[in-house]
Amino acid sequence: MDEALRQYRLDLLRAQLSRRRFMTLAAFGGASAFLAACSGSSATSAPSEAASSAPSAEPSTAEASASAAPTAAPSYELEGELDLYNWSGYFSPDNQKTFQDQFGISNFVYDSYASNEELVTKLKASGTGQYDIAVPTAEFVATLAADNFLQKLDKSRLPNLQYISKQFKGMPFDPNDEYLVPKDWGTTGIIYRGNKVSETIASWKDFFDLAKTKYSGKTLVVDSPGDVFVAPLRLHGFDVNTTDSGELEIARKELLALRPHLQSIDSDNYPTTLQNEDAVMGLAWNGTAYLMQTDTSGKYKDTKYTVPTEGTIFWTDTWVLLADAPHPNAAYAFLDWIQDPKIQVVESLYAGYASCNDAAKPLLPPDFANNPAVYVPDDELSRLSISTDQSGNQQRADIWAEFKQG
Amino acid sequence: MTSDARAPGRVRSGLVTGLLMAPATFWYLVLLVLPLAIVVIYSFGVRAPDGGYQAAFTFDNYGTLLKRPGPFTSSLLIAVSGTILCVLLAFPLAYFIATRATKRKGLLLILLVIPFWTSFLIRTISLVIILGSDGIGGFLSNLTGQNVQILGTMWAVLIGIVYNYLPLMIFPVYVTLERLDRTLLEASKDLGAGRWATFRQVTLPIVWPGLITGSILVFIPLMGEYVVPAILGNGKIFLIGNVLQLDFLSSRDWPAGSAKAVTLIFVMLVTVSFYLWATNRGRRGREVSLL
Repeated sequence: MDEALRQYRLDLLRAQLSRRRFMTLAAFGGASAFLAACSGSSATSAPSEAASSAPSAEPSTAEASASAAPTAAPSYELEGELDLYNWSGYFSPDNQKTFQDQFGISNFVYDSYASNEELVTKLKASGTGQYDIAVPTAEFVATLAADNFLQKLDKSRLPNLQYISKQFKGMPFDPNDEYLVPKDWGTTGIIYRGNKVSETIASWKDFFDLAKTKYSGKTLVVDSPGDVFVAPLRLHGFDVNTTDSGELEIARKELLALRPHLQSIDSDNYPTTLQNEDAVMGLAWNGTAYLMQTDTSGKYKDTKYTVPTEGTIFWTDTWVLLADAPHPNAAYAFLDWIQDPKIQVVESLYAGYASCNDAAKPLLPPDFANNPAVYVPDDELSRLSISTDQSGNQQRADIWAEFKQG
Repeated sequence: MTSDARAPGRVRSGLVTGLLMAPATFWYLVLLVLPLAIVVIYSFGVRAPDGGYQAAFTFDNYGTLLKRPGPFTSSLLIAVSGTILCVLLAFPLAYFIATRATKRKGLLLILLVIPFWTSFLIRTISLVIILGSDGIGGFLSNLTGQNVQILGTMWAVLIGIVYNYLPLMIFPVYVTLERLDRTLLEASKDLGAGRWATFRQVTLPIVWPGLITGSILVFIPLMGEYVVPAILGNGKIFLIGNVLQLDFLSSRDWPAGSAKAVTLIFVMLVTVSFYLWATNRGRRGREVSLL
């Protein structure tokens, strides 16, 4: 009972946090415990072992003791301070220490926000010049750039951008890659408990069929219209970002037919709901599946994650350099250093999400890099499409209100 | 001479009054009137392309609102039934504490206050465990052999609401009952009134102000309640508070949200005015009959 209460309190504290942050924190009360579970060794040694055993993408000598081989020291003077505005628990404390030691940043400020909207609101209300770096989700970069909150990046100062995967170059929110440095990414799909769900769920069709029959009352969806709309739209082969009223009307009918069978519509407590088996199947985010599989108790190892065959969306979080950043040199040093493959390894294992860095992937432990709940298998990449922010569409807003009301 | 001597004193007392009233006036203007004016203005605007507010003058936000009155009726239903339940539970308890619990009165009052030492959120979240599959819900499921789900239903929300708001009803009722002169009851008995007649004609009129205060204290926050349905409703109970959250934070359609907020204020104004008018009228009628 105490444990459950503690969990709910934790959950509540981050009730406003979005998917990644929530799940990151949920299982990472102790990052070391998690890492021990995932790699079988201690938090600090796991990445370095992986790094030294794999053929290194970094030519410099990787000492076994240094989990991060230094990126070449910058030729410019650093400020000694860096102000980071980020989701909470979304930057490895080990990496922070490495960065501070390596670059002599004595004052590292880490403030956090709980949603992209909050980031935008804060910048609009109190202006730039307060922080150096922020971490918006890619679809918000266009908005931020249009409002002059971002600086164009000087790529000559960011040689490590060469490691960025092609998948994350030229995204529609920043077609010329002028503003963003991809951080990590994830997908929306179907999570289910293998112990309770005997069928193999491969598609949205399976999801709808089973939710309305065998697992009626045992199915959940996250409380996020941008994600939930994907299921009915892809089920009928429509574009995930469609604004066509006929297509949305079909999606509406599917959603309303699904509604009576749902156990909950919830983004905050749903990992607990799946753990308790109050629901055994859900439309949710991949990180939850991974964290449940690797939970130290080992009770949720049966959790499975599917990237539906009809296709789904992926999201990307990005590092951006804010306009009027008070410490631009330290910020550039950070943005380049963070894409060092070995730093990325520490970062990925901490956050539990797939890195956008090609060179980091081979350095990651195989059970991480080959886990379909983290990295979408190569042959399934074609199922993914980028979602754009459709929250302003009135028809979608109306359908969502109707769906919520039931 | 005398008037001259008095004048500065009068000025000073006026100044003191002004100074003492200043914080409250400031509070009222800056934190109530001004935001309210902004909300009213926003409610006639349109959503900016990136979300938020863009200046315009349109009634569309109110027009679309009428198409989906569901959350309003649900909120009204919850608020009315929650208030009635609170009255039914609070009255006997307050009566007991005020009239029967002589020595234990202090202890019982403290016991009523203790839950307030814990955060509202923690208390509500605790109910998730109590009502959930490891609690009463699971117990009933085992007992009946069927899958009984309390969470995610109106019942869960109602339980959470009554649990959290009950003390707000008990205390005003208790205070009025405390002042109830027992000799009046004896007099009523001596004059031949039965228990029911005494209750109806003596106790109830005296308690009436407490019941009205308690009802308003419970009813008004219930109309805008967001936390309890959000936590105990499994995201499936959609009250006006949840709609506002959706409008402002999810679809970032501030004008639509503002229109709903203004409508909510209006609905409450009408409901509470009607309630006060109806109850006062009833009371006056009774007083006349007593005379």
